[in-house]
Amino acid sequence: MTNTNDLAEGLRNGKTLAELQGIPGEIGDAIAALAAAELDAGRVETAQALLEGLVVTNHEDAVAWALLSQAHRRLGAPLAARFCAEVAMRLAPAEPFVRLVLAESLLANADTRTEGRAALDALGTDPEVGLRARALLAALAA
Amino acid sequence: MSNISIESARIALTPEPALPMPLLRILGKPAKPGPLERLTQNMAENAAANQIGRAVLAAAKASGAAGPRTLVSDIVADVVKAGVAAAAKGVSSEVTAAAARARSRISGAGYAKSAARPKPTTSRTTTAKTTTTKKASTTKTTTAKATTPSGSLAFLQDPRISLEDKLMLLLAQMSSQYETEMQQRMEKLASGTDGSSASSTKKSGGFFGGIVDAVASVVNTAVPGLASAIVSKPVQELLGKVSGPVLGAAASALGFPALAPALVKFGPEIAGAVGSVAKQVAKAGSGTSGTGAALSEGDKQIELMQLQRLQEKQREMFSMVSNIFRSMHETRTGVIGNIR
Repeated sequence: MTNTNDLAEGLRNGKTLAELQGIPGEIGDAIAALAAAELDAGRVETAQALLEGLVVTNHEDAVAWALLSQAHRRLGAPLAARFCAEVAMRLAPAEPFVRLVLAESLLANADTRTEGRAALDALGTDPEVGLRARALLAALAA
Repeated sequence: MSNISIESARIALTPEPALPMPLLRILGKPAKPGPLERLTQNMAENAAANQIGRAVLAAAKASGAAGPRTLVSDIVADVVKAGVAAAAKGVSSEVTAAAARARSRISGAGYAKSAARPKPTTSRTTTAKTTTTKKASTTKTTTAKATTPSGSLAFLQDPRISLEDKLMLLLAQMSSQYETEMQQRMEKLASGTDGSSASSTKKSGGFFGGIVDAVASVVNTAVPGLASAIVSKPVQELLGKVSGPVLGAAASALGFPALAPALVKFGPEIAGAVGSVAKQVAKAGSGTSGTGAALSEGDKQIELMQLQRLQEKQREMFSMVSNIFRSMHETRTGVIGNIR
């Protein structure tokens, strides 16, 4: 069992709770997959609770931040969504999924919509998220 | 995404300028369940759903079930919902798959090492950095554990003192610490209530001013320029939506690990405190000093919560030590009983 002093010292040394508690990446993957499934199923509050736990456990998990951003967006909190997406972007700036989520969060605000559109343009040819980026661009043009 | 479900339909749309309907659907913005007109509009917008809708109408006609109009429209509505959801799912599942692929590339960072876990081949540089520092800090922790405790806890290493005595001494030591802290908190609370220490009034807003500054720096790092409007309604809404632990995690992720504990601890109160501190700062700026150091309601509540927390910790500690003693006693009694 991890004692409180070790935890505090570990956190001060820049470790994550996941590292200190011995939670491996597989558990993180499983929780993220569960949260993504909940998001897909429309149970956004449940997904949000799972993802909040995940980002607290490992604040370096960029995909968890990105999924949390999606949850906030679907719950009608565009600013919180943008905040989480920006954190994800800081952690994994080259990751197409994270860039897509940030672009989506930018679309929610009229002031940043142009920026979001440009980000989607840049993602249009991406093999992973290009389809969604193009769909969003088409929908914006409609 | 299956965004047309009744549950998601109940969620209100964000009050943003109108986005095109297909965009709302792809983004997963919940659409309110509308009447037949709305659904037929959806049908027109979505070719797949349109086809399904027509097929159902044809089937209904063929089976002679074209009775009441409402019944048919209900059937159409249900099937159109399913059709739209299925069409959206095609795009959505791509995204979920993208998220999964993204995780497979970068999810190793920040997690504990797993014996069976293969190392990611295309990990970013910070992953490698984390794993190397992890080793270093692990050795550091273990060596620190091996060293003898210094200062007031040196008695723990004294071989002449029995375990029971050590426990009692530790209890006394910790109890004394808690009492000192509780005394300080009570004094702070008392001085804040009568407003006697006017010297503690600062333009920075005191302790919560510091917290607000911390929040501002975290928010500003994530979204530059946003924190300048820290007292604005949207930012307060953000603080209300993003809970304390998440804000703390964000602080760590953005390179402010030192701020994380304060944000975690006071996260839920920050949204309220931001407003009150902003008012205090504004008051101080306008020259109307007033009574000054009187704690705000939020501050008082926090102080009381801290007091309560300390009391609970003290109680827990007493109960823990008492349990240990009881268990030791029972073990010995059991051993003696067995000998007899």
